[in-house]
Amino acid sequence: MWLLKGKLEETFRKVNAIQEHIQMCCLAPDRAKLSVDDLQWVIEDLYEIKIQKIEVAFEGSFLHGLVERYTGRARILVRKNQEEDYVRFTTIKELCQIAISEKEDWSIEGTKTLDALLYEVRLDTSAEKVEERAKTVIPHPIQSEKLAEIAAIELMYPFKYRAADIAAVEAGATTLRALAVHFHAPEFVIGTALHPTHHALAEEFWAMINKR
Amino acid sequence: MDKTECQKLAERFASMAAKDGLLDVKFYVAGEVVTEQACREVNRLYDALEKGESGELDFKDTYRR
Repeated sequence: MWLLKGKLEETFRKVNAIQEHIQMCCLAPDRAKLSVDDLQWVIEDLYEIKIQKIEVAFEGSFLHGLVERYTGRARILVRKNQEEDYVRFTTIKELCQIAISEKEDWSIEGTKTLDALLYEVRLDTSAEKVEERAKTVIPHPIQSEKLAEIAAIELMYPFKYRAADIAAVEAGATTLRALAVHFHAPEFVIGTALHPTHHALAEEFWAMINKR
Repeated sequence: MDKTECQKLAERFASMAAKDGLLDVKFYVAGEVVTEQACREVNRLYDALEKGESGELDFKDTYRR
């Protein structure tokens, strides 16, 4: 999937603003897990929107949760029977969705969003090489989905800890799983954040933000 | 012929937009899944919600005093 650079930069700026707001209001210890309640409070304050979070008991394997947006309010619905770290990540991702989505990213055509999202996932897991695929600009609603996941990863596992953790993992002093347990995040969040491709992308955007 | 899960879900979202003012819906879906399966699970979510098989999600993890 190809993401627009402008949209990525905007996402990182919003993450930065959210992190600064959290630091001002909520006295979390260093390297503490992200508070979902505090993140909700900050997003409600920054974006003047009232958010409701509901866990729903239904049978499912693929749908972790969803978010509905209305004027002045949003409702996050999360599947109850899943691991606690996935309940956290799903809720955080949907909170980020509320923060980063602009009007151009909105769509009520949920089935089309699902179809485009899942088709793109299958493209990402295909055996084709990136350079052999045509570059196509992904519709804004789908870009927004992926950007919300990136924002959630950046908030759950702050960039400032990663360089030292990469060295520690390489030295055998810690593991991805240990980091995941510490930050109360699914292991794929840590693995994605520390992957060389994602780390280089995050490094570039954080350097850009910190320069201004 | 019965409606597909996607057709039922599309009608649900259209109704939510018309009656409740739905502006946007986004999902977190993961795994090897096709659209019809995903729509089936979304429909199950809403069916459970309508039956009251849900509750407020409170993490009780604030650092604010």
